[in-house]
Amino acid sequence: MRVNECESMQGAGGDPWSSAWERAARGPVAVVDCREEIPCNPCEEACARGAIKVGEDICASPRFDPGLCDGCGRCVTLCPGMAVFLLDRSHGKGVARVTVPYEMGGELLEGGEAWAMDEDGNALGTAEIVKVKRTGGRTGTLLVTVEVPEGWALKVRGVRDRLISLEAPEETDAEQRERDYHLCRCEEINVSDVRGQAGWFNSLRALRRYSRAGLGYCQGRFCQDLLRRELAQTLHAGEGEVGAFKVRPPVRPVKLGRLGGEDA
Amino acid sequence: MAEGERVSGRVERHAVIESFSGGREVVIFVDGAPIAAREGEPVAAALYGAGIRVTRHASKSGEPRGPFCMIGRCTECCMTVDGARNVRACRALVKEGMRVETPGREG
Repeated sequence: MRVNECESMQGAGGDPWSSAWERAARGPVAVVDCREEIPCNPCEEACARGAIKVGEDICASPRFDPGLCDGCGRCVTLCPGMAVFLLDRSHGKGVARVTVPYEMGGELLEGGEAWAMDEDGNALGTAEIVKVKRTGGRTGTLLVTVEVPEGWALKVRGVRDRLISLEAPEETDAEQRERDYHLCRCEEINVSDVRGQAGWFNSLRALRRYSRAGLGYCQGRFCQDLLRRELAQTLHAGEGEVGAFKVRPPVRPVKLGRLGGEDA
Repeated sequence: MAEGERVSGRVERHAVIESFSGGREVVIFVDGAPIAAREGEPVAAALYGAGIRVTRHASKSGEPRGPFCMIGRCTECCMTVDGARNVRACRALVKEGMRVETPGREG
């Protein structure tokens, strides 16, 4: 359930999302963006002021009263799903300060820059890091406060080290070689062919019909085990689950003359 | 190594493996050109000894292929031997005057 859909949240403005927004003009306030309705209630325990309630039904979405919140950030630290952030609009001039939990590698320093990330993991842009607080918990969670344009205030859900490229890492030579490795040498089916097409089938025999892997000169003698291993890995299945080629005689190349009684 | 460049791969002496002692020296023809070979050794060995690494070309990409498994399984060394197609060069044994041809891409 989205915070702005949560009818049970009571605040001065009626609409809980806008009441948190208004409360944030006076200083940091928690925004509880918890939608999953899973059995979880550390946020309730975290709040010394009783601003967050889950209640008897542990699967219920937390109810939050912005009027009771003093913006201490304990719920931000303790929510295992990182579903709580702090919003502070008291610094005026079209900016907002957002405090999010951070449990990844990289170094975030006050005065530096971080990527401000939205809920889908896309970068909104860079933001100045105004505060980094070590919470000392078992998870080593940092509370990172960034200053962002007010328009991003409700979009930021995380930060990332500015020095870590957001581009996918370039493929190494070894990865390229592995991807190009021929599993079926006769029909020239390589590792990336199997990985790329595995969504279409769930068995070795279906792979053979679809891609011709195993239908070349060697008739699967060379490639079957390699194909089975790669397909099973790609499908996250056991090697026994993807089956085997049906084997028909002759199991190795024999001249028709031999079969007809001719001497070797 | 560039395709076509020939460096002999014949091992005359080996620390562990006994030398191939049998087989008189004969001539076989590869795509019409004579090469020295030992009677009774695998055709693939004779080709290797003469510095020939490419036995066929992959049918789709045309990439050069050579003997790979050496035990008759992979079929990478399939060649035309005395007119018979798809003969595994690692399994066929040298006879005097044998004619070995690199198959076209259709095999």
